[in-house]
Order: sequence, then C-alpha cells, then structure tokens
Amino acid sequence: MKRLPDWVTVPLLAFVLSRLLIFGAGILGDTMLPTEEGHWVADENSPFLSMWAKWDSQYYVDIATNGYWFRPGLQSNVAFFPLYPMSMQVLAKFFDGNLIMTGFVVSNVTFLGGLIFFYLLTELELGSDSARRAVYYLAFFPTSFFFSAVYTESMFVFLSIATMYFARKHQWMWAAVFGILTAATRNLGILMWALCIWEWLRSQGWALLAVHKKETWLSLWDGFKRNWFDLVIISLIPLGMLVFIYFLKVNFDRPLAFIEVQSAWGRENVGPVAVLQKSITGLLEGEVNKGWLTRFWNVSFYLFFLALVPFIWYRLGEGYAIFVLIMLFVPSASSIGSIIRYLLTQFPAFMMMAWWGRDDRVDRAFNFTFATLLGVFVVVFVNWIFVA
Amino acid sequence: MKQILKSFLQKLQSIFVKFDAMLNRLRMKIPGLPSNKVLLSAAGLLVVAGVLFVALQVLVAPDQPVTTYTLPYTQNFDDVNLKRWFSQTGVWTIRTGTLQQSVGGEESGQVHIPLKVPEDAAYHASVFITLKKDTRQAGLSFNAQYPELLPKQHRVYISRINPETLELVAGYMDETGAFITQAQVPLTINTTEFRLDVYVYGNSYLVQVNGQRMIENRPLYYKNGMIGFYALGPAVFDTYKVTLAENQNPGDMVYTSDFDQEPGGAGWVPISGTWQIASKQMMQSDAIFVDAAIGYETSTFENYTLRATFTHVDGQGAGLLFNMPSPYSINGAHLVRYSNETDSVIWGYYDAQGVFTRQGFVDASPADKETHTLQVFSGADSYDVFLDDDMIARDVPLVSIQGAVGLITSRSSAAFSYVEAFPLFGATSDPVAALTGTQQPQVTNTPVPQATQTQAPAAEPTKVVAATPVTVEAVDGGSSPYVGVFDGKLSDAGWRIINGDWKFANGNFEQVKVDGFDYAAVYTKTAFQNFSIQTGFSHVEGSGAGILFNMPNTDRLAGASMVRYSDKRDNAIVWGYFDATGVYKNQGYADVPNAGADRHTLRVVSGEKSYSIYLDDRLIVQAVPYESGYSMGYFGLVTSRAHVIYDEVAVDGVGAVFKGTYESMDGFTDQRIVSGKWTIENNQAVQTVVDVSDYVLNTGIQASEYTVSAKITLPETSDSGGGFVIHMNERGSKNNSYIVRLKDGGKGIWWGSINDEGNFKGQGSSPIAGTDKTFTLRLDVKLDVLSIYVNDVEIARNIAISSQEGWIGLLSYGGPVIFEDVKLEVEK
Repeated sequence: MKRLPDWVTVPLLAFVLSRLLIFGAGILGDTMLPTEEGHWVADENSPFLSMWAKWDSQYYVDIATNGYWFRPGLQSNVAFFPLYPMSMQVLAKFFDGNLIMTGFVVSNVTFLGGLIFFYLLTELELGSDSARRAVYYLAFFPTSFFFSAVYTESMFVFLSIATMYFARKHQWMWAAVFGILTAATRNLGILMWALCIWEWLRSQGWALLAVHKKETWLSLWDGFKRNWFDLVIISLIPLGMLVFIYFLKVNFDRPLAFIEVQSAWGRENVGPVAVLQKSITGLLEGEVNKGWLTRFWNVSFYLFFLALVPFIWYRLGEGYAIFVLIMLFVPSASSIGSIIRYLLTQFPAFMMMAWWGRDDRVDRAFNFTFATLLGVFVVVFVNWIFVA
Repeated sequence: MKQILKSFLQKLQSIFVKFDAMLNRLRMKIPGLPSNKVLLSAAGLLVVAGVLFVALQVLVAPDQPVTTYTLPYTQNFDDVNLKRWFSQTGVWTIRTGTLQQSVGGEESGQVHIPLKVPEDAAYHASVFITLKKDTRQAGLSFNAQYPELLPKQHRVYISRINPETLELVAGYMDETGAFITQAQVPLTINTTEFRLDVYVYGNSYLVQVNGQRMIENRPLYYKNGMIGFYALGPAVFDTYKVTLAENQNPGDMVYTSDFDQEPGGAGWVPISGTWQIASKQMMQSDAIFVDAAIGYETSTFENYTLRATFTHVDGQGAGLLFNMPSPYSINGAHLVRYSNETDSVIWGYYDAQGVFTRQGFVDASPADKETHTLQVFSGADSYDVFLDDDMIARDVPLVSIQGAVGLITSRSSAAFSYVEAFPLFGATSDPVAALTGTQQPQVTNTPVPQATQTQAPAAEPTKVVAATPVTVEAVDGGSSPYVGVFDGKLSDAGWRIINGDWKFANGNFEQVKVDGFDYAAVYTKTAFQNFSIQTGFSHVEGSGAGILFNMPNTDRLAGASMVRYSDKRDNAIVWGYFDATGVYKNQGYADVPNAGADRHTLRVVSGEKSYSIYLDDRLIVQAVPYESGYSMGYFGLVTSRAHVIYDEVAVDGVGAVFKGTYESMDGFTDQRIVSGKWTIENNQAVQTVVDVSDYVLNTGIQASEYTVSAKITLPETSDSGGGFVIHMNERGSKNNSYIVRLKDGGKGIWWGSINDEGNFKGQGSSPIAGTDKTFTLRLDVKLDVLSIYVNDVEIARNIAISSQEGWIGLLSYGGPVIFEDVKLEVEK
C-alpha cells in the first residue's frame, strides 16, 4: 500500500491526537465538575456539542439563524464577520439544521485543512522536521480547543495559512482567493493583503533592510513592469472586507458598524502599551483568583509571543514579523483579555517555535507545557469559565 | 461520479477556451491588454466577491434593514420584530396590537424604528398614547440622528406632574446630553388617552394633542432622522403613522357656528325634524322624530376635526353627522350620536339607501340634561371619536372620507350651542371644492360648491343720494316674461344707466369701464315678483359681472339685491344687498370655476321669501333670505372692475327653469331625499320606513304652474298614506309647504299647509270609496290655486293655497309606499 505523504499523515495524526485529548478532557471536565446554572445551552440534546459552543458562539449562531442586526450602543452581532456563520447556515442542511453540529464540523474540518497547509508552508520555510513540530505545537497549544469550538479560529487559520502558502508559491490567483475569504472571516484578515504584497515584493528581490540600496528599487521596478498584473490580483484581497462593509452600508447605513459597536463591549482604545502596563500592574497588585489567573496566562503568552518577533524577523523575514506584531498590537490596543486565543492565528510564531524545537529539550518543554495547559484550559472552558 | 466530474471539468475547460479565444480577438484590437490569465483571474476574483455579497444578502441580511420610510407609513404593532428595532433602554413588548413599555423607575425607555424620514421632507407623525397609572412621561422622539439616537434627538412628550396635572413638553438633547425644553404647555384635557401629532417642517415643528394645536413653530436643531417612542414609566403606544405634511401652513379653524348671533344658523339646512335657532342655540324640538337631521351646506371638509357641544332637552339621541355626500340627506353620511335606546354612544354610517350600519358603540353614562361634547377626527381613511374629551373610538374605518357636516337627533330633542370644524394639521386648510359634485349614490346631486366663511370683499358703495323709491306694480315673472333685445337706444329699450359706460353693440349689452365698482344699468319698464332672471355674458377684462334684482329704485342701488362675480378674483360669486344708504352688505360667497373669458349664465330665482342663484345651470345657493327687505322690484345688470359683454337677459316665472314634462324618476336629476328611506329604481320610488310619519322625496323641481301625478300604492296597514308636497320653500324641509296626501290606508285624502314650525294645518279632506290600495293622484297647480284628482275623479277644485311657487316632492306617510308613473308637467 502506497504510503500517504507526510503533509497528510503528520497533520492528521496531530489533529486526531490533539482532539482526543481535548474531547477527553472536555468530557471529564463537564462530567466531573459542576457548571454554574443559567448559561446558554447550545444543544439540549447533546452535552458534548454544547461544550464547544460558548460565549461568542452565540453570536455566530444568532447570525446564522436571524441574520445581522445592529443597535447603536449595544453588543450587536455586526461585530462578527460573516464567512463562518454563513458557512454554518449553508451547510446546516446536511446536519438536519443543527447549527451547533455544523459549526463543530466546520471548525474541525477547516482546522485539519489548516494543519495541512501549515505543514506545507512550514516545510517550505524551514523543512519537514520543523513542519512536523509546528503542526503539533499548534494542535496542542493551550487554547487549541478553540479550533474545535464554534468559533472562527480554525477557519481563519486555514484560510490565512493557505493564502500565505500560495503567495509563497507565487500562485497569486489562489492566494487572492483565499485572501478574500480570509478577509471575510475576521477583521484582521485584511492583513493577508499586506503579507501577500510583502511576498510579492520579496519575489521581485526587494527587502526592507535593503531599501537604502538603489539596486533594490531598480530590481523592483523591473519586476513591476513584468509582473504588475500580479499586484492587481493581490489588490483584490481586501474585497473580502469591502463586501462586508458594503453590506453594512446597504443594510444599516453604517459601513463601519463592526468597529462602532466595539465600544459596547467596553473596549476603549488606549494602545497596547497602556493595556500591557495596566495588566502587569493588575498582576502585581491583585490577589490570585480566577481573573488574576486569566490575566496571568494572557500576559505571559503575550509577552512570550512578543519576544518571538525579532527572531521571526531574523529567521523568517520582516513580513511575518510585522504580521505577528500587528496581530498582537491591534487586539491588545483595548484589552488583553482574549489574547491567548488570538495567538492561535499567529502561525509565524509557531513556525519560530518549531525552529527552536530542533533542540529536544525545547521541544519536550513546549509539548509538555502546551499539552498540560491544554487539558486544564479545556476543563475550565467547558465549565463556562472564561479563558479567552 | 467520476464521469460527472470529468464531464463538468470538460465543460468548464471548453468555456475557458471560448473565453480565451474571445480575449485573444479583443487583444488584437487593444494591444496593451494584459494576458488572458490575468484577466480571467481578475474576473474570477470579482465573481468570488460578487458571490460573497449575494450570499450575504440572501443568507444573513436583516429582514428590516435601515432604510428610508416609504410614506405613508402605518404601524399597528401587529407583527413587529422588536429585535430589529433600536431599543436602547426600557423594556419594550408587543401586546394585543400595542407597543408597551413596562418598566418603571428613574430611567426612561426609548425604542426607535430603524427607518429614516426622507431628508428635507416635511412630515407628520402621529401616535396614540395611553397613560398608565404609573406613567410619568410618554411621547415621541423625532429627528433622532442615527446612530446617535439618544444623544441627538428632539422629543415631545406628555408629562404627568401629579395625578391631576398634565403638561406637554417639547425640546431636544444638546451636546452635553441635557434635555433642553423648548416649550412646556399645561394640558387641561382630562383623559388618559391621547393622540399626539408632530408636524415637522423645514426648520420648525408643531405639536397637536387630541387635535388641538398646543405647541407651534419651534425651531429644529436636528435634521430629519429616525422616530422613536419614549416613556418614563409604563405606557402604551398604538397606531403610529407617518405621512408627508404637504401643507406648510396649517389652516385656522374653518367653521365656527353662529348660533348666538342674530340671525344665527347661516348655512344650515334642515333635512328632517324641526330645527330652529332658539336661546342662541340650534335646537331640534321634535322628540318623536327618528334621525332628525340638519346639514351645513356651505362647506365640505376633508381631514378635519368636527366638534359639537349640546344638551338634551327631551330624551337622548343627539350627535354629529360628518362626511355627508350631500348636506341635504343623511344617505352616505357617517354618524356619531347618543343611542336613543340604551345608555351608550354609537357610531357608524348610512349607506346610499339610507340604511344605517353600526361600526361600534361604547356604554356611556346617561346624557341627561347635562352639556356634552362630541368630537370626531376625520382623517385620511379612519376616524376617532371623543366624548367629553375621552377617546371612545379610535381608527374606525371611513366609508366616506369627505363631505358636509351636520347635526342629528333621534327620538329626542336637543340644543346645540356650539359647532366647529377645523382641519387636522398637515391637511389642506381649504374646504374641499365640491363644484364637480360630491358623491351621492342613487340620488343625483347637483354639485354645490363650497362657500367659505370669509366675507367677500365689500363692493365700494355707489354715490349715496336721497332715497326716492319709485312705486310700481310688480308683475309675476311668469305672466309677463321679458327677453332683452340690445338694439337701438338704451332708453328706448327701457334701460337706464346709473353709472359706468354701457352701450348696445353688435346685439349685445356691453359695459367697458374697468376702473370702478358696481357699474349698473337698470331695466325700468317693469318691476317683477316671483320671477327668474337669467343673463348670459363674457368677461373681456377683469371679473365682476352680475345681476341686480328686487331693486326698489331705478336710479340707485339702495335696497337692491345683487349677485355677481367677485371683482377680486374670477373664481368666486358674491351675493348680498345694498342697504338704505347704498352700502353693500354681503350675504355670502362661493368658490366657482374661473370665469376667464368664457361665456357664463347667471340666474336668480326670486320667490316670495328667498332667492336662489344658479351659475351655468348649477345651483350655487338656495333660499337666501331677503335681508334687503324687498322681495320684488326692478332688475338690472352690474359690473365691477370689469369689461363685460351681456348677450342675454331674460325674465320669466319661477318655474321657467324647469319648464317641461318629466315622465320618469330619472328625469328628476336633482332629486334628493329629505327624510325617510327611499329606493328609486325601475322608474319607481319606494319609501320603506314603516313608522308613521311624513317622509319626503324632493323632485328637485320648483315651479308655480304645473300638473303632477303618480300611481301610489299603499301598504296594507290602516294608517299609511301617500301624496305630494308642493310649494316647499326649502328644498330640504317640508316646513312652509303644502301637502296633499291619501290617509288611513287609502280610505281618504286630505290637504293643508305646514307652517314654518312644521305644524300641519288641515284645509280639507275627502273620503275615498273602495278598498283598493293603489290610487292615481293628480294635482293641478296654478300659482296659489290647487285642484285635486284621485283616479281621475275630481276631489277638490280651486283650493286656495298660501304660496305661489316652490319645490315639489313626493310624500309618504309610513311605508312601504310605492310611487309609479310619476309625471310632472311644468308650465312655469
């Protein structure tokens, strides 16, 4: 029997093993520990599925069920981008209309797809060993249970990594297709446009550190004359967001409603530095409780990923580094509360960790830490305690 | 499956190949075109984006997007997804077709409909509000600026200061978030149900509560935006409407009754019952009458409030008629009145046959002898009813949306002290023009144009000279008709010029000076009484042609009656008289089509007590009393600031207009039901009310010499009767008339007069042999002499009657009474 290629088997195994851990921990946590009354029960007939639909899941279900709505000053579902809930709505017919089941399946399938593309991309950048480690680090990251939950993380990861993969392969058409879809999945998906532009520049011999050199620009100009049409293709990536903006304009006369409603969640843009400062102060002065622990993990991982940035720059290139920076700074400009979930989408950081994992001790440390925390966080999450 | 996929891919490939070839051909024409791959890729991506948008719209678009109102807009709160509304505060629910805010406390509730009023549009928003026991404030927010609906809005609300005190507050939210009061008005209305109307114009707004303008002309700080509902404490909202406000200047009151003036009741025409002005009130004194009605014939109304204050004198059953197709009949009219059977107020409408359909009722305390007020808001398609400031009916569908107004009593006697009608703001302030005719199914109605209450501009008096009235014998118009011939010398033709520049020219009589008022020429050879005078004329310049009549003098206007076109505008007719000093006193005026340079005919029918005016064969006004004191005299022509050519002047009897033979009910084109319920079809008139009383159908013909006959079939009852009423002084009342009718189920016939109080005074009677129920009754009338025939047998001859001319009608006593083969031959 012909052996399946590694880009199938490695992600598949990582997927299966990580999901087994997550589902097992989830069942254990849900069964053994009491859950606070009064929370939303996503699926009355399936406690298992209900475990994976919490917090923001309600909004996606609401969008898929009732469509978008906007109430100025209130937490309106226009804050959430459309591709994921639309997929739920369309595919729900294959699951007897069960949106929770559909969301669960979509999340898991797209996560598997994401792992496959992540393997391929990392292999392209760093080789197959690193690719294998990267896939496992991502699959077992402490908050990777969100990849199986009714959330957009898995779809975003799948689409964004696929975009980058095709961009790295200079298959701009496919990069643009996935880029548009990424931009329609989350607000920060538009960053894929920048990443693709950066890749295109790189493909024409341009480098940030060489901007002072005349040859850099001459080379770029030559490349532009030959391949300007690729830029045209790449420039269509923002359509994913623009379509949603136009939709909001048509239906609510508020094209930027998704930004306007952020204040309803108490988010105030004070800047990442101020937020970080406030969070660290809170850690130092607060007493250890649920909130303190949540803040601790968020701050810790935030600082860790931040620390990765110069290494990413050095190893993988400025594009990836800037991507990670933006993905860190934008959400943390108002709050650091869910950072540990947002980190899931910062695939260059996982690539960097995978590179470091060449050292067995580092590899084992990552695996152990991630797996342990993953189990704990799953138990916490399924009991309606806020993780991220 | 593989085959299907293969086939699909092959098809896709062939499509791409075709596109490829097409693009290659295009590239030959446009050399700089990018490669096919690029073009197809770009196109493909655009398709992806397009599909994404379509999917968004189809799958997740809201069922109520934020768009602009499509006006008119009505929200009855029957099927509302409140989730789609912008509910920022409070707890809002839909219950039993109303929107309710149910939370008390210190925080107000607001919800806005996700629709915007069109920019720069003047609009009218209305809502019904019910205050609950704990309601502190309730009203509307408007011009709320989306998405900052709460901090940027205008607001008007009813505020309950304490259990007994209400006030209306209007204002806006300023940039600091404070509410700035622009107006605060105490509300003396003692009710918990309100209709709140807000009219928003370019830069100001006004507010009405229960039809009364409370706040006006307040400046707007925010432009058109969204409208919402506001409450502090629980409150109920119902029937919310938004329409365009077309009238930028809401009119003032259109009609206020003059019952307390001398003489009062101008414009009111009794339909049935006994109506008179007494003790400064309009009183209906016949407590036996069912549906005794009176109509106001001067104006018709649309989108208005009608209010009447009254006291019952005997029984209970007083109320209002509105949206009457004709002021002379209750058929087609809407009705609100006290019930004469139970302690309640009923409302509904009469159909074209006069059958009443009740639309609703509410139990009410007995009216007793207390003063009450009934009020109706008649809107675009529904009406509301108030009794003593309490709303008792809301949004009742209208069957007739505009028309005349009237008063009614049923088996009761009542005195109406005050009646007024004024527009609902936002509607036109002008009474509805009715010259083209209001609806009156079944009975053809001569259209009566509306007359406004505004005094016509007084004609400048002619030079006053000492009065030396010429005493002449007046002849009946019918006995000595005159036809003007405009040839030769004016004086030879009998004409005397009082002033102006008059001349015969080309067979016409022409007045050319345009710089003065009331230029008159008088026919001096004959003075007339009981006549009709008709003129034909055209304006060459200006407007102001008309007729003088019943002039006591041939050298001045003092004492003369006049009717002419207004010299201020050519779409109004004025009538009145000159007093002893020659000063013009206006009695009324009516809007008419523009005279322009067209030929018109103006006719005055002058009877014993009053006169009627026709313009182009259409009745303008009837039964105008002789306030001048003269019911006979000379006639003349008059112009005022106009150059006019008269091509016809003719004087004849009162009935000259109607001269001819009428052999079918269809021939009576101006017939109208005065009382009772009449069905007219297949050349048969049938009165169907069985209660024994006089019921009259006016043929619309007035004459002084004629023969009228009909085959009358009575019902089997022993007290029924049928006949004719003649020489009616008013078209809408049998008072001051003469009746001849079969009685006692056909066993006899009697005749006599009815005075102006409606009392019958018998003059004679005769038995009729036989048991048949069908009779042929014929009357020969010559002025004040009458002969009666039953089944061609003379019953009485040369009966002297008190008047010489008037309207002719069919008379039924009880019912059903059938009139067939009605024939009327009019000599004069």
